[in-house]
Amino acid sequence: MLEMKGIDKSFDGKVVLSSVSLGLAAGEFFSILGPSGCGKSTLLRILAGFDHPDRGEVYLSGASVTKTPPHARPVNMVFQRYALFPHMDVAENVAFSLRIRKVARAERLRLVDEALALVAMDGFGRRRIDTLSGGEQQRVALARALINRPKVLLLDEPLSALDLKIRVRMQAELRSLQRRLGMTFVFVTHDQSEALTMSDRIAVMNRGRVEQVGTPQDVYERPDTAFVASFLGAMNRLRGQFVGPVAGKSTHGWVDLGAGTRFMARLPRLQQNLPIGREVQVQVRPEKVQLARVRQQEPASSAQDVHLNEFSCTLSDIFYRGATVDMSGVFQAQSSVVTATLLNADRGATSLGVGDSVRFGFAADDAWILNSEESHEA
Amino acid sequence: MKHKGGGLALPLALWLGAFLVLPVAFVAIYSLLKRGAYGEVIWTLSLHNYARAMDALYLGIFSKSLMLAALTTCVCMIIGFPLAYTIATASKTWRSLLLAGLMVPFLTNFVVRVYAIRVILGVEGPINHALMASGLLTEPLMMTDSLFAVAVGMVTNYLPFMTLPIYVVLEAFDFSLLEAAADLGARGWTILFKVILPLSRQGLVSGATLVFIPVLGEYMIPDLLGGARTMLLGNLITEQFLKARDWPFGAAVAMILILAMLGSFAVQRALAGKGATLAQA
Repeated sequence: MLEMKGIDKSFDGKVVLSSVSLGLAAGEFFSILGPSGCGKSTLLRILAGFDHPDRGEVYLSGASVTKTPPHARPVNMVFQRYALFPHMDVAENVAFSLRIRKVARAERLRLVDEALALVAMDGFGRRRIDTLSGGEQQRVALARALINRPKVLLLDEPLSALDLKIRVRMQAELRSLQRRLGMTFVFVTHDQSEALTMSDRIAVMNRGRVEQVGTPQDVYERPDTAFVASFLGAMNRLRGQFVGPVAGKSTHGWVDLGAGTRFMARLPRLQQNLPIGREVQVQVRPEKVQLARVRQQEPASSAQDVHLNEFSCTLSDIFYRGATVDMSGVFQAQSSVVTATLLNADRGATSLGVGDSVRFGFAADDAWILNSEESHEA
Repeated sequence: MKHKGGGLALPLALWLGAFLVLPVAFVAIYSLLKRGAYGEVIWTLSLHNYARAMDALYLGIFSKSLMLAALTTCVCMIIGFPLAYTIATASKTWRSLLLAGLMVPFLTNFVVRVYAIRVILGVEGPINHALMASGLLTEPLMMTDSLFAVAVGMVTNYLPFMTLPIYVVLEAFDFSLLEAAADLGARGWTILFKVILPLSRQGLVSGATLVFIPVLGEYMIPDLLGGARTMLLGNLITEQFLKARDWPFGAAVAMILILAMLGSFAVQRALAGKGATLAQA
């Protein structure tokens, strides 16, 4: 539906985007996630037509729109600071594009009412923009962009200016609006939890490149690169040396962590040619690290597949967070700190104190091996 | 006193009283008196001077002054707006340079500046030289000592007063509004008339006031560039006080000028205060 092919862009010799290629399906909620300065906003501006790529093409429904000016693209944008016209009231803002297209008055009024109803702003038509709250302005900006039923709606960090409570509500509303309209949304954000909650697919960008494209589960649970792994949430990193792939199972490998400890973890797609002996990291999310039970009571069928890495720790910190408890322990084999996020409901968790010795464990499938040299970049 | 800190306004009130209200009151009183045979003032109250000001000769001078002020304001706006826009959208370095370029002429002496225009427009000036050299003219154009020269002088002198208020508005302008307008299907001129100009109105109105009012009363520029044939309001007043020695009539014309200025100021207030309603159509 929307396709970007080999897009390069630099400003004053500084490379902002390099060979970005992405394809979006119709009706998809697609997020572009990355830190500030990663090029995600520039990419969005190229889709809107405000900036032009140095190389590469943008296709919309099969036709190139690379050189189409913004006013002629069947694409609309919701701006970060909304960019509502302060000299017009709500209805005039929403009707702006209809006036330009010289839509008849009766039809215009009907469409404006419809658009305002869509964003639950009925009856706000005659209000001045400066009398609206941030959330209300956000809705007006949405209605103004949606009134032409664009093929693609571009959203440039539209929720970042809202406070937390309204932001969470708008996330849900945006998502349901997108489902109801069946419209393709391209959503730019630097907030990983926002991207995970809302998207069908996420493209994670770093330094002008797309590092990984996939479903929220893909990028969170199976990151291709160290950057993706660290950008999408908290992470434990354990240093070690790559021993080699697991016999008969090339998707997994062994890592030697010293003091006779060996862990098994997945080898991501991009890491499968790791030389033996290379300095690597075993990465595992804190919520995947759990207290190891004295006796594992796994069902016999899965026990064959699930390899559990277990190790001893001395608890150094306990952070009570309400629903969960974060426990940090010093990993005795290499005196690095490992954090486990345990559910408050976990009986074993609440009885422990700092200084206690515990055994943590995580499944081999929940951890992955990344080249240490690459990890430094992140 | 109702307002807190009212005492702090006392110096200002004294200043305005001594140097604005009192002199204007004097002028108002003088305008009702009569000139004696030898230029002295005769103390009999009448509206005689105002009736005399309604003479076709003086009405002509009023309308010529008003038209020149309006023309100067328009030309300043047509040049000043793009200029302010260019400065406001320029890179930081260019912005300072352009602003300096706009202001530096102001640091030179007023009379020198006006004489410079005399030289530039003069028979032996660079414009005539260039036109003659290019073969477009065989005889030099007589551009000085004319209403045209006065208009050029007014525009060059008052351009910054138009440009700076517009620049101030545009400098704080949210240029993402232009992208939003383009995104919604608007093109160049539509964006200018539907978004940029309505949102610059405060600057345009202040600029227009800052140009129109002083130009209406300006007497140095017409005096130096207009020659003997160009009589405007400002010169008329100076003439009555200094040459004709008819202070009461001069005072009456001055009162009319003050009223005209107050009138245009009221228009400005009305336009600027109108808020967002102008955009509704």
